[in-house]
Amino acid sequence: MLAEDGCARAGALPQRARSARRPLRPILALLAMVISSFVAPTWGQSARGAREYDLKATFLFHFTHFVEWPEAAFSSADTPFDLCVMSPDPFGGALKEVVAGERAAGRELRVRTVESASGAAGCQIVFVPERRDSALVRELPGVREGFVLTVGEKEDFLDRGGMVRFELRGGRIRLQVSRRALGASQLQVSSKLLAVADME
Amino acid sequence: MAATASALLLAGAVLLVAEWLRGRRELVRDLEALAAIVADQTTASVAFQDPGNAQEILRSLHAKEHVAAACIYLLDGRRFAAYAAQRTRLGRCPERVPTAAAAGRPGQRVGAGVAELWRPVVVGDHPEAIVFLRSDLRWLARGLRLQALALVGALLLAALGGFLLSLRLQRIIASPIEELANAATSVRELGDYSVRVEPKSEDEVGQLVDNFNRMLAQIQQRDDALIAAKGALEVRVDERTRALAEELRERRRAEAELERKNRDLEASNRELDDFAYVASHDLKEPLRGIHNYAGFLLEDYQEQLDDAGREKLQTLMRLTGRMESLIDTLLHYSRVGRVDLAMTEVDLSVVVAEMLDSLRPALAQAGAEVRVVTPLPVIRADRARVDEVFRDLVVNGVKYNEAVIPSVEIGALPAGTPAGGELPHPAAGPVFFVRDNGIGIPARHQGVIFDIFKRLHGRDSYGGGTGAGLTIVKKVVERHGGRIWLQSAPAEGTTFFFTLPGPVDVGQNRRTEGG
Repeated sequence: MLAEDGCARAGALPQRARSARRPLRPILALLAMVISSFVAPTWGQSARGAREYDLKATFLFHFTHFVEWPEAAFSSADTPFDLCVMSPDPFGGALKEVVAGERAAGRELRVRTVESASGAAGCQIVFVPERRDSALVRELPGVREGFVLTVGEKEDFLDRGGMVRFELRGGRIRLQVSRRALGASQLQVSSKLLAVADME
Repeated sequence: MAATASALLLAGAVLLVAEWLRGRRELVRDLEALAAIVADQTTASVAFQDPGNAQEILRSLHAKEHVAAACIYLLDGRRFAAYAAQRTRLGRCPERVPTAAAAGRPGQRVGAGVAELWRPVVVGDHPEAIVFLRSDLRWLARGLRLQALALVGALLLAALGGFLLSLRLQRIIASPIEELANAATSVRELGDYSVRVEPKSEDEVGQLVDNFNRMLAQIQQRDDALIAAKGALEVRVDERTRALAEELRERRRAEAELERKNRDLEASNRELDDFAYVASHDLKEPLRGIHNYAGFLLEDYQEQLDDAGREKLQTLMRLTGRMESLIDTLLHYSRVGRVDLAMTEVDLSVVVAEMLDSLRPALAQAGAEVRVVTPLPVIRADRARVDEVFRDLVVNGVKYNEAVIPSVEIGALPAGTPAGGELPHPAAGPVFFVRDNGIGIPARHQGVIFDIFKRLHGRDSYGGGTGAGLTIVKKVVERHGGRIWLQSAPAEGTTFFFTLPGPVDVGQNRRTEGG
């Protein structure tokens, strides 16, 4: 629903813009670059250090807004939405803080820290921290069915079958998305999310 | 023209204002829609902290010309992304979120030249950022200016068209009608019907002009005829007036002449009467002497005179006697003309009866018969004179009569009765008549029988007489204001008719009898 709506509107505007003001584009691009050069450092700072995982926690929570899970991903109608973090938990409580009292996909949103792949059964989002092996992804229950959004940090995360990777670049956290992994899953990802992500 | 233009201008102004308000409303609505789209499209940018993407999305707003600036602020007030469509003050987004928008609720602020609107960017259930859009209303004004220009242009075109049209109408309608009006005015003020309006077209106005001209021509024709008739009439009236005046003068002259003659006549009549009186009165004295001396001669010298002498003296005495009687008659006549009438109520039947009584011996001697055949009225008259009239006429009727039984009839006819071939005036009173069966008067003598001393017969035939009787009768009748006339034929008798209406004043300086 959200995705469709967003798609239609996102598609409409730029199209009209391009056709109407093609000659201005270079100027505007330059302008945008100038503005970005002011804005970017501010964000770079915020993404550094402890603030990095605060942001990542927020991002993880926001995935619940831009991705739709099939009903089959949940074992029952009142099953909570599980946001799982493989240990060791790098958020230090920040994630729990972010999702406190929140709901996702119309369900109670829980944060679970899991030790092993098998422990992540029933999770809708699984975060694999830097220190865990990316290969873990393939062992996660529900991944084969395409019910789980896998999010990681390691550089080879997408190559190993992960779907979304947080990449620290230029002091900012960028999203990298694996088109292949997402395409194979049962998840519906909003075009708006894809618009702010780099496709692999 | 001016009213139309101002109406158009007013309508245009109203239209422009309405257009301005409508445009502003539309613009704000558009801004709302844009803000909603931007808020929706930038959720991911905000959620995943990608200002570049937000920038990109904001930049797509350049398709909307009225959008001067678009920014996204985070809830802590920091500017997240900005887009400036204008390099003006309006194009610069505030560094921090405007206070009014900081609450994260939707809102708007529409000013004179600028409209600002903000909407929260909601991620999930939470507002995560604020979209801030600002529109330059001058853009709207530019559009309106264009419309106003178009309006003014249209107005000018309409005015030009109207002007051209009015020029044409002026030529076709107004100017001929103006000429008509001028012509009508000159006709009214100068009475000049020779004015004509030159027809310029074949249309209704031309026909109007034609008809006007035709009407003027007719009026002129009639006016001319009227003037001519009036002139002729005036000439005729003048002529008639002159003729009448001439006639009047003539009549006055005639009247004056008549009056003068009348006066002369009266004077001469009076002189004649006076003369007759004086003459007869003074003549009687020596005549008496002559008569007396002739008598003395005849008595005293009877022996000395032979028969021839005596006879001559007797003739002298007879002649003087005759002359005396003539003078007496003359005196009597003149008295009738001179002396005032003694008017009284006179019962004619009594007068006539007494008169006949006094004549009875003479009548009996003549063997005549005198009858009063109708009742006689009472009139105002001089008794003695009227007696004289009837007496003379009766005596004449018996005297000039050869019938075996001389007969005379006396009577009166009602006033106005035709008698003797004449029609007396009714006001003249009864018509009296005295009819005899005498010798009659031939027509050729009827004109002179009233002349004094005129006798138709020998001096001594028919009993003699002075021949003044009818003259005196006529005089008396005329002094009573009446007329006398007769109807007669030889051997058939004579009828005298007369009227006695009343006395007639015969003059002022009348000498009374005596002296």
